[in-house]
Amino acid sequence: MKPLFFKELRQGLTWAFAVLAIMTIAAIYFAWDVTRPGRYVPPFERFQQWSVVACPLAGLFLGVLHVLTEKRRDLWAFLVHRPMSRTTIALAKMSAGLVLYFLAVGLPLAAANAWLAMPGHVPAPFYWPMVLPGLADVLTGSVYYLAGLLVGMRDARWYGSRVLAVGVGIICSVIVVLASYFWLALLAIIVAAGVLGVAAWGSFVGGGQYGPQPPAARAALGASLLAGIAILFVIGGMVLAAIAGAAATGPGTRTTYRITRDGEVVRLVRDRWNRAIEITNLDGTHNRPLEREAQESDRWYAMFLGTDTVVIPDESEPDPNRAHGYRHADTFYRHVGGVGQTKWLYSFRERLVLAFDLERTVLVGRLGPTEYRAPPESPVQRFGESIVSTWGNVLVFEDVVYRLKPRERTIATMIAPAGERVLALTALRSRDHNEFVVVTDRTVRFMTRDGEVLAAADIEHDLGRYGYLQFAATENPQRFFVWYTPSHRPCVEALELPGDLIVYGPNGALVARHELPAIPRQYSGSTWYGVALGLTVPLAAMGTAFVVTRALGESSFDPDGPIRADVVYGVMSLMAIACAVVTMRLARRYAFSRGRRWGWSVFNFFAGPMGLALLWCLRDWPARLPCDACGKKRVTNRDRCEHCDSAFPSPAPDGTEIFE
Amino acid sequence: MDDFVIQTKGLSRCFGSRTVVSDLDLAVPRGCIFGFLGRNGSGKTTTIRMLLGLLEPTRGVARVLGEDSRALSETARSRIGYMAEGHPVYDWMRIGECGRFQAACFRSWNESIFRAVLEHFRLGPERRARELSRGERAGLCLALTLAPEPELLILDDPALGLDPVARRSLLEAMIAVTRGKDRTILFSSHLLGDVERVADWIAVLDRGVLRASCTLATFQRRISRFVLAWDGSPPTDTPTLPGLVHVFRDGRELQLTIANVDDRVRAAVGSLGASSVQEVPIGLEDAFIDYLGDRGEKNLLLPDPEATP
Repeated sequence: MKPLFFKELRQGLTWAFAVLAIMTIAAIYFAWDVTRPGRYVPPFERFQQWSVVACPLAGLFLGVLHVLTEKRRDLWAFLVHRPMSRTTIALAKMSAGLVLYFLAVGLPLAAANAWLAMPGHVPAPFYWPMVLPGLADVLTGSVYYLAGLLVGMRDARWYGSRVLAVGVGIICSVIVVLASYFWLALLAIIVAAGVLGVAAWGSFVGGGQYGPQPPAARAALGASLLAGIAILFVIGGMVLAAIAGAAATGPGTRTTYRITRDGEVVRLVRDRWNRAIEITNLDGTHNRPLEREAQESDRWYAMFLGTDTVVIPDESEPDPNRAHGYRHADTFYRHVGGVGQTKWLYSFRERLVLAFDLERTVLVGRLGPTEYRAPPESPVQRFGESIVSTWGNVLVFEDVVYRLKPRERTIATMIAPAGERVLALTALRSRDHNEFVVVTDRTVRFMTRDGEVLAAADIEHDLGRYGYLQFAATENPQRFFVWYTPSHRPCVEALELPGDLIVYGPNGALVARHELPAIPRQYSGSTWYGVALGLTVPLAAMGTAFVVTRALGESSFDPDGPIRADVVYGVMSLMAIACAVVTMRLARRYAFSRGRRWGWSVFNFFAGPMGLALLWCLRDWPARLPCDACGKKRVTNRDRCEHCDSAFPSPAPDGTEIFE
Repeated sequence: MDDFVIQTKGLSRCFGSRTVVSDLDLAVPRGCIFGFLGRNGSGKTTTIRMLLGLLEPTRGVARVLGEDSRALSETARSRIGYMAEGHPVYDWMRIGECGRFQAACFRSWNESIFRAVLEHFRLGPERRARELSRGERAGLCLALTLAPEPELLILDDPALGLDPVARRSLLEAMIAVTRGKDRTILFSSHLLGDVERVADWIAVLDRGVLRASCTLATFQRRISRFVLAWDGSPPTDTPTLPGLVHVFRDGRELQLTIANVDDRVRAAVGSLGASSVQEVPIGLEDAFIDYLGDRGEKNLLLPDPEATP
């Protein structure tokens, strides 16, 4: 294996150098981009934008080339005809290819991370876990390398089906990007690499054909292709759904409640092109003046107050207030604000606000709750553990809300409500973001920047049942609106709750209260959506979704939702039966063994059209020729006719035969 | 020990609905130089690739050195030398590197054979494979194939694209190294002179069907040529004769090449109405050419320009 490994290494060196050069140039460009003086580009996010795309592309490129350059028939024969098992040759090829890939991609990324880690290069802190996204991307690229090998290796009748194996890489990339934890991303990479590695090995052993492959490799190849097919079906389903939506003949209107600039609450009906077509008061009477105004103006939405929504954090999450994910900058720091050439970031690790000079890209100071210190010194007192959010220069902790004053390099307490837990803060757009709403577990406070409370009101409902709170305010008369808005977040059934819109005057005096009945949801094209879903989603996927949603205590289909369950299940069942029947006929026609015939039919009953597509892409389909004995078409790869059991006739002698 | 190093039974290969090799029953005796003949596209390379397990047969089996060709063991592969069509080597390697790479992969490696073949072709170890001419490339490939001292040598059109000098050189090297060592050589070719010079057993594939498998002597003995002359114009239709492989009209003469001639055939030839019938000796090369041509069909039957309509 050693000579083969070194030969493969040497053979792929040119392409690996090309990738290394491109990656190095890209690394230099991104380094230049994040350090341009006077301009803040978040370096952590910027480098990820590069690595998340570049690594898979590099892997795929190297993988495909590693095979295609040698796949020319005679060179391939020269390679495989040697006293070594195909497995040994495949392993040598894969291991050398992966070494080259990791060198070509890993070196520039490692250098970029080392450069980022050196103080004074970028106006942001660096913590070692920040290398994990890059590492995950490099490892993801190895999945694409194996996908590339498989694409190059497989001899498929339909050339496009070779590319389907990249689907595993795409799914892996999605998981790697969305995963909250690095270990989860790593697990996805290991599984994807395992599946593609076995599939690539099998294709190598089978000389690119399906028939001679070991069973494990066949299964891995099937899984790889199924991933690509699933992606195509998702895209196809979306297109069908879009067509179904466009062809829908339903009402296509949307009804919502709105607060007018005068503080009235009305019901607004919009058509599918977002035009206001009806405005009624809460008693059901038409509000003709507003309707006229809405019809005369293109900017009908300016007639209403803009509300600001606060999402009530889900208490079941481990840290509901922070965006989780090893790729999120929020895991490490959050932008607080900036004045002039100074950028302020709140560091979750240090629990301090850090000031960076954008011109010199250096740390110029650290700010704690009580003091500011220039490096190398650091404030003794640090902020609390439980930060809720930031808004502009405002830092919200569970027990206190601060406002950063960048020019003075100080921080002031806006409010520290004793015995209450701060849940959320938002700035009011209806007050040009100059006033804030602070929501605690007991109280809603409308406040100025300086901490003056304009109005305060007790929390009237169990916030967990609603999910959303909306706020607005008017100046003359001074009114403050608190709107308990039902949402699907706690559960779909919560949408049946009536909304509660409470209007307060100065100092929190109750002015009015409106119960806003739940608006029956109106969807258009529900039948066609159901048909689209039924045609594309297999029974197995729907069954899994059904079981999972039931286990989570939710209903699979909202009876008033955009999709009609009876149509979905009906179409899906018909598709399942049709796919099973078609598979059985195909299997008979191509003389599958009894076990394979039934196995594929049952599989395709559950896998539906995806299973049929898989069957079509996966297997070698022999030609069928008329049998000389019975006249029926028979497959060419069986010694005896599947209909009449007669052998293929020997070529007819013509009298010129000369045998010893 | 088997008498045959290669045996196939019903070996067939289809590409789609096109049958490229059909029901091939072939046996290659041990120790012979076996010429595998056929025109372009007759299925020689496909057969060889199936014998080496590089291509899955559609039907039938092939046994090479006693093993199923679809699962040749490492030991069997080490006993088979294969020189693929087109003389493939890694272009980026130097000749010395090619040798070291091949030597590291094979259990037995005779460096003196490798050097001897290289010297025969005047190849220095420092030259890169991409710089070699076709003949030199063929020489390098032959050196790489012969040095492991394989028991069975399979050469797929080794002289393809070579000029006569390089071809001669290649054959000389091949014979010099392998003769007298109980080695079997199977080589495919459509260059008849090469076959005549070195082969002692031949097989002929015609559009995927095996038409002949015999010694050279048998082949020559079983092909006959008749020259028939007419006083007037000869018949325009192709004569229907058993074993007819080639018909050639030359003015008032018809030249017939026939396989497996016996008294019955001679009588049939005599009954064609010719004024004279002559059985003439045929050279091996002519026999080959006629046999490999479009058998049983008109090859060049032009109307006699002097004949009255």
